[in-house]
Amino acid sequence: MGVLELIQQKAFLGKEFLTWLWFRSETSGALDLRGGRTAEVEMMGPIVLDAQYGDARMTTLKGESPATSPEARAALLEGKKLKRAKLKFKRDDNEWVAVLDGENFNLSGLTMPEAGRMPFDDLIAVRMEWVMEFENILADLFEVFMTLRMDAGDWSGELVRIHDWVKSK
Amino acid sequence: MPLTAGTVTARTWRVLETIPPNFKELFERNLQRQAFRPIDPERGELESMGWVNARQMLDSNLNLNKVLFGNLIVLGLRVDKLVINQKLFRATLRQEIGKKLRELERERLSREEKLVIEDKVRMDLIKRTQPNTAVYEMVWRLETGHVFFGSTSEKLNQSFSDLFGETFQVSIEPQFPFLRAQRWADAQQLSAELLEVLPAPFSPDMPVDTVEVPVED
Repeated sequence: MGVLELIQQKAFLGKEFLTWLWFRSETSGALDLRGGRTAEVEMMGPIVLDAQYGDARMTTLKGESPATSPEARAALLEGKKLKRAKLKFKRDDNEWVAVLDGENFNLSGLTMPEAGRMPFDDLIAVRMEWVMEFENILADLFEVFMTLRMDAGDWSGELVRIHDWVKSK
Repeated sequence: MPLTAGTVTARTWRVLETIPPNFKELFERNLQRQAFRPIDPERGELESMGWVNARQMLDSNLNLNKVLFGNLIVLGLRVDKLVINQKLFRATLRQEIGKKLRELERERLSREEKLVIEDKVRMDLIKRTQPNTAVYEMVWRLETGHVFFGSTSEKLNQSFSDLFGETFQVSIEPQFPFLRAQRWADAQQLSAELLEVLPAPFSPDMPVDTVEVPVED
């Protein structure tokens, strides 16, 4: 199978990662990153869920707390996963907010800590450091997810907890 | 992806290869080659794409001083497109065909005669039309190989990666979830297991062994 086909076939990994972040944001505190650091994730809105196969319908939820709505629970019970979501990431005293696409990790509307007024060279360097920090948080969280996901024992335990979370929403 | 203010919209890429030691000379030469040039309608062009100074989209006379900021290469990808207003085209064509028929005192033109008029009308409109212009920013962090391109359009990202490769003579890979997972799995020696992984049922109403996998015909 070619790389393009694999990317398409395994695109569910990104959606599972987003849905797992949602689960963890509502059930755990801070998530561990590399180097002993931690990050918190908060679900915002809008969120978009879709099914893996067979059902072409997407569920788009907007409003103040779409992630805690009865419609979100219903979509999860139908087997839908997060296709796209607006998330807040916090690490130390810094915050980033972005819409993240689960299939390709495209970023939309990423906000980051203010850089202040400074010459262009410095401003671009500072802003790119913030973008890179966000990328590092995302990469670390994805690695935490993949480590769990690829361990059959750990993952089956996590799946039980995910099921309990969906039932209790 | 505004460089100095506002929110960032981007696809993340990563350079897969080590850049050569003489990269500055190579980059500067290729930046000139792949710099933006205006659309040439005489050559039948309706679109043009190339690099510009990210701080000044009218500046395509590029050198490293304008694009290298510490360990960052910062560029704008300018895309100009000529879009002919179809209503205006059809109206003008009808008018020109009418003129020709009156001139020739005929009721009908041949297909070839119509095509000649069509080409002339199209060329005249192209010459009178201003292109739509867009500039998308790109930042390449040389230290880590990360490249952030300021568009999430699939088509544009494909064009971007082609131009990036031609300019900098290195290939880049989009940081899609599976490709990140693949890199992680390779390091963990779990590549084969990753290929076998199937979607997990996050719904408690879907038992683990009923996950469907589409079957290719």
